[in-house]
Amino acid sequence: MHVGQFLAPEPAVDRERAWAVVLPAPFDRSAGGAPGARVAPAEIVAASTQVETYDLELGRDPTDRGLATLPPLELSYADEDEALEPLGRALEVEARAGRFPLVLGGESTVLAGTARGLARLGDVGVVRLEGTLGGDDVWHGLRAAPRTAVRRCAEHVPVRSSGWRLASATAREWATTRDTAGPAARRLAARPQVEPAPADELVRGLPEIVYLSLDLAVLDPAALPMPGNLEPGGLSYADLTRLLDELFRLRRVVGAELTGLTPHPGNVLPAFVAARLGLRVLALAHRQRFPTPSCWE
Amino acid sequence: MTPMAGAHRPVTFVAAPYEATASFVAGCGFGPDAIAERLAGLDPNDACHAVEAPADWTWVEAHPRTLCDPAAMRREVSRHVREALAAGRLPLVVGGEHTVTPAALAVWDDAAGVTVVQFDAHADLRADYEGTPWNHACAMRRAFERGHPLVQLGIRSALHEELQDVYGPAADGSSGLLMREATPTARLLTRSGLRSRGVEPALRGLGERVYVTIDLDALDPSCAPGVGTPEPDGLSYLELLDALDAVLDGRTLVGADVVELCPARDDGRTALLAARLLAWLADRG
Ligand SMILES: [Mn+2]
Repeated sequence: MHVGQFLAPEPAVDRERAWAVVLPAPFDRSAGGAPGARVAPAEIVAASTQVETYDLELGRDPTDRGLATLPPLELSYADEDEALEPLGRALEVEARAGRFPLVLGGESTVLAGTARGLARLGDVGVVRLEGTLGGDDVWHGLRAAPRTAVRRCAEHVPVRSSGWRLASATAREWATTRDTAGPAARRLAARPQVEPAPADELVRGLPEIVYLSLDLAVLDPAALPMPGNLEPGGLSYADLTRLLDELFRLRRVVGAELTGLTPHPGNVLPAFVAARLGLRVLALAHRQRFPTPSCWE
Repeated sequence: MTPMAGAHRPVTFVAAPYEATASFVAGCGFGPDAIAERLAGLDPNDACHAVEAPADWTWVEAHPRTLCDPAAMRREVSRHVREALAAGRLPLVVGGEHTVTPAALAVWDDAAGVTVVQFDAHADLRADYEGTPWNHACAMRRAFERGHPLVQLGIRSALHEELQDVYGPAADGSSGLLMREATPTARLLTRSGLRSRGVEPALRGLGERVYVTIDLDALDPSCAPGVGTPEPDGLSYLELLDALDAVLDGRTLVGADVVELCPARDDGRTALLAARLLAWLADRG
């Protein structure tokens, strides 16, 4: 499947001249809610061409100093090792070259692949934000699925999963004994008379360098109405962007993935939300890496 | 009938179903029809809103939906707005795309004396876009070039260059509030800026006569899904009414528009909300 350039930078640059790269990973095999994540990277990139490259609230343009989008990874539908190892490798190559990788899923299972690459980069932890805790061992016989992604990740690198509002009893038990469960959505959502938990709790116990695994289902259906995201009690867009802003002040972030878009014909909003979040993550990483935009130097 | 019925200026709704430059999802040319239907059916007993459709209002079609020529659209919209004003009526333009706003503004010769207050997700300050200066992404730039002071509220998307053109080379959205003191003056509150500072910093020194333009994508997609370019984290309906109250407190509304409804993406909520806003604006006229 052809995918254009995320945010449509002008002029386009190749990856050697980019500070950040977008890695489309259309993995779609085992989502519990609804299929369709295989077309998500193309949908997000298409919506991103209607999004300004300047993040107004941060005063940053992540196409400044170069942003490149790579061709989509060919991910097989065979067993998880074969399917997800190429993703781990691609992530590792970009991070080693000093570029900030933004993986566009794909279902949230891609974490089982990216974690493999992260493990080879050294002391890196994963900050996971997902509607599902993800600590099950198997799901319908699959070792790699959204509900097991955090467990697979923990076999490679330390991970802390927050913002969830769904968790099986076994997932909770596993996560509690491993101190892998961060605050649930209910503790992170602001509302009158309720002070939300700070982002410190997202990174507790993790190394100084982290990777962000962000699944769109962490958002409430009011903010992200799409198939497979029907559970009430999720975060608002403002809750999420507040947490992201704090996270990038607390830890050095080496890369990120944005997963879980299930396209729905006729409804362009979810792809727009995903594109805006991709812009925000890149703008936050840009602010962290570069003290000032290049035009002010 | 509320006790206030008939106490206001009569209103002319100028339907401008103009659609030539929609960027992503087409269909805002059908906006006026969807809004007219809701406007006619507004429940006058809804005490929460405390307004109803104005007692004396007429609906005129400025041009057919199939008209895509920008010069002809501007001529026709201007003519109908001018006729409404000449008859002592408040003109409320119903879009159509945002390009109809500069067409309405063209009737005020004293641009410096009419402040344009814009609610929008996008700054719409581009000099040109996709080869034309008459694109909806350029609507406020055209207003600014006419000499109207600008107040831009709830903005969450802009190109750095378009901000620099109006607010100077050091313009930085992360401050939440951008100010231009040279004539014509301009103020921009971002979404975060409006949330944290309130609307007042943008209204200081604001002139007495105000034209309000509401791009429905200013609102959050959860309450106004029927727009062509939905942007997350918009205003709630009540936040918008609060800001409008502050804008019109002690000031005169000379005209207004509500634009960019895309009925193909709507479940009826957005059209009704647009009709309520128009009734609300009529009530303040
Ligand atoms: Mn607009």
